[in-house]
Amino acid sequence: MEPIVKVSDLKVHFSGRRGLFQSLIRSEIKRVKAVDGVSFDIVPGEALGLAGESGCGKTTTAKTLVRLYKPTAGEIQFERQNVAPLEGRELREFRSKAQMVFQDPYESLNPRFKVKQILIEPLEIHGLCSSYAERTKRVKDTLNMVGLKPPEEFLDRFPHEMSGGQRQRVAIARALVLRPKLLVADEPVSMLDVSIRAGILNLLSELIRDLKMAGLYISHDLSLIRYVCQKTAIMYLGRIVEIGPTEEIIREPRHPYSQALLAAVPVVDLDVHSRIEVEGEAPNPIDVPPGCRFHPRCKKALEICRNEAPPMVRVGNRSVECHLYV
Amino acid sequence: MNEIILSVKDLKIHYATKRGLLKAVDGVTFSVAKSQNLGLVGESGCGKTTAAKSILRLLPKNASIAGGEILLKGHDLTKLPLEEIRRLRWQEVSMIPQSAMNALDPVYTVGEQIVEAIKAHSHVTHKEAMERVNYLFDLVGISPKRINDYPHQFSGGMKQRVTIAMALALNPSLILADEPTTALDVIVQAQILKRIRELQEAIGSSMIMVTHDMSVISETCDHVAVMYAGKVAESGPIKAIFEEACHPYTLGLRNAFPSIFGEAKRLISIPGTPPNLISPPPGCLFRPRCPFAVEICSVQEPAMVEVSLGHRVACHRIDKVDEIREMAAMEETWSKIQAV
Repeated sequence: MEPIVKVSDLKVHFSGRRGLFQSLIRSEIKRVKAVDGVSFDIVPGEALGLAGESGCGKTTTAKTLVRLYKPTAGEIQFERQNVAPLEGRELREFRSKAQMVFQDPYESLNPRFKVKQILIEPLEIHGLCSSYAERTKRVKDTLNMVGLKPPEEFLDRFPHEMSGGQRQRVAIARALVLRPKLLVADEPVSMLDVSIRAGILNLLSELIRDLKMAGLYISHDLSLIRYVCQKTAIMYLGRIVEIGPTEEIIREPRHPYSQALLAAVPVVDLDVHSRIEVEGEAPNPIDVPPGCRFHPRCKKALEICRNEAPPMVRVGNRSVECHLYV
Repeated sequence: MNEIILSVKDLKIHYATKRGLLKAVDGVTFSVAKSQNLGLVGESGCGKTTAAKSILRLLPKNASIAGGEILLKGHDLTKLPLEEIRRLRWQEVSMIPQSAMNALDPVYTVGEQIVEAIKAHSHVTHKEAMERVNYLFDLVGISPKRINDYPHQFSGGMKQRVTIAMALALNPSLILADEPTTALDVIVQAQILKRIRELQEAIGSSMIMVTHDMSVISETCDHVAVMYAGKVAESGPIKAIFEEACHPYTLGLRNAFPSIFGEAKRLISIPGTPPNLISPPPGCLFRPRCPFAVEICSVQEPAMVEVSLGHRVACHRIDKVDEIREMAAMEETWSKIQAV
């Protein structure tokens, strides 16, 4: 199947501000390489999970994919068009097809808008549906899709009149009301109770499958990714270190960092405790270590890892960026 | 049996709100033995944090303790004047707050903040207090060189370690941990939980772990109390709760939890939302969401029954527990409930 999204060698760098003193002594501006050469593609009806620690660049990747940030380099092919350089009207047109669900449903919905207004606004901005009646119908259909039934009961509610789970459903509906081709979800359940999470995860995976969208699901917790995504990419310090079918990665992670991330996943089992395979935290992306980025924390690091960045190698259905598999 | 450090009996806490009296905690009983950990688990708004905070009387102004007692080593904390309670804070009972990001004062160095807590509660010189901080930092795995850094110079996980160091500063007999890892990613979460376990074993203090995450409980606790709508639905030793859960709510919570092992089964959520605690429905509060409810459940509130040693359940259908356990594992059982 032809992928909807094809990202190649995407880079997003942020430059820090220089103070007066630093500009006088002409010191180099330090650049935060949040995303530093990421490639993947997503076919219709499939979700890709992006997993990694805080600060690894997963949210930046997501926001760049829907063009909330402009990439520093690289391509984002969306339905065969490179959307990386788009601006103005073309960018807006692209955004109607690429939508995002944010982490915190308590902050991502306008508290002064009723559900109806929240969902109609995107339709008006993008000039979809010709009449008010049609828009209302689309809004009701979408509420049905996200399981807020009957829709009439929710149309006139304000966000504060709903529970966290219902709010997140409204946020998903707001993304879906435009019938996008790409749905990006950034830790959509981390603010929700465990008992409600299941419903949202099931909903997302069904919507992506049934509406034939390309999905990108972001989380630091592989056990959540497992319920939504067929493919998973493990990210570390701005690069994808391993990518492949989710179940394979969970069963047998290859990259030492994937192994560490998997070992840390919380378990509800009295006989198993999460193990810790890496100490400390990821280094600052301003000072990326030379050689393999992971080598200072890697238990299996070889001499070569210190000096030379590993190439991406194909191992079975998977690609791994590690000297151990070269 | 170990010495009981804290025992909470029939605790009732009410909030005065504009719409009426909200019974956030309504007759909760639990106890914590020396060097043991109790997990308080439940959904948002079930009263778990209110119950924990009431021990240190850290409740907002509109809250009042409407009944029951909180016995810390035999003294009833509900009757002590606030001045006395203040003396107990940090010294006897300390707290690890939920968001370390907001718990530290941004304009003081982390060292100063801990020294302040130490000096307020014990007669030591500044130098001795500083040495103590050095030792604590070492214990929680932060380089003592960073004592004079400000909170913004630390990452989220490091800040949480600082609050843990602070909670341990005066060797309290009880630590209240309010979702100490929810804001952290899995790797840091695993590191922090391991650290808490080790330190606690070394110091011998007891802990109350407040969380909605069953995995945190399974990693740290010896006993669990599952709370629902201000009441304890089920409580007991961790093995009983995890392997022989009886209450439909506990079974539902376990279903909803994602797992990395075995087959990727569909997750089953509990339909509906917790009841309004200002005008709660009569009978069992879980009834509107319970697939096993029968007539009596909507009339009479179930009493706590002991099913095995220390394992208590408040459910009318306890006689049919085997059947319920089997059915609770199936998705159809729960989807029958019309979410309200």
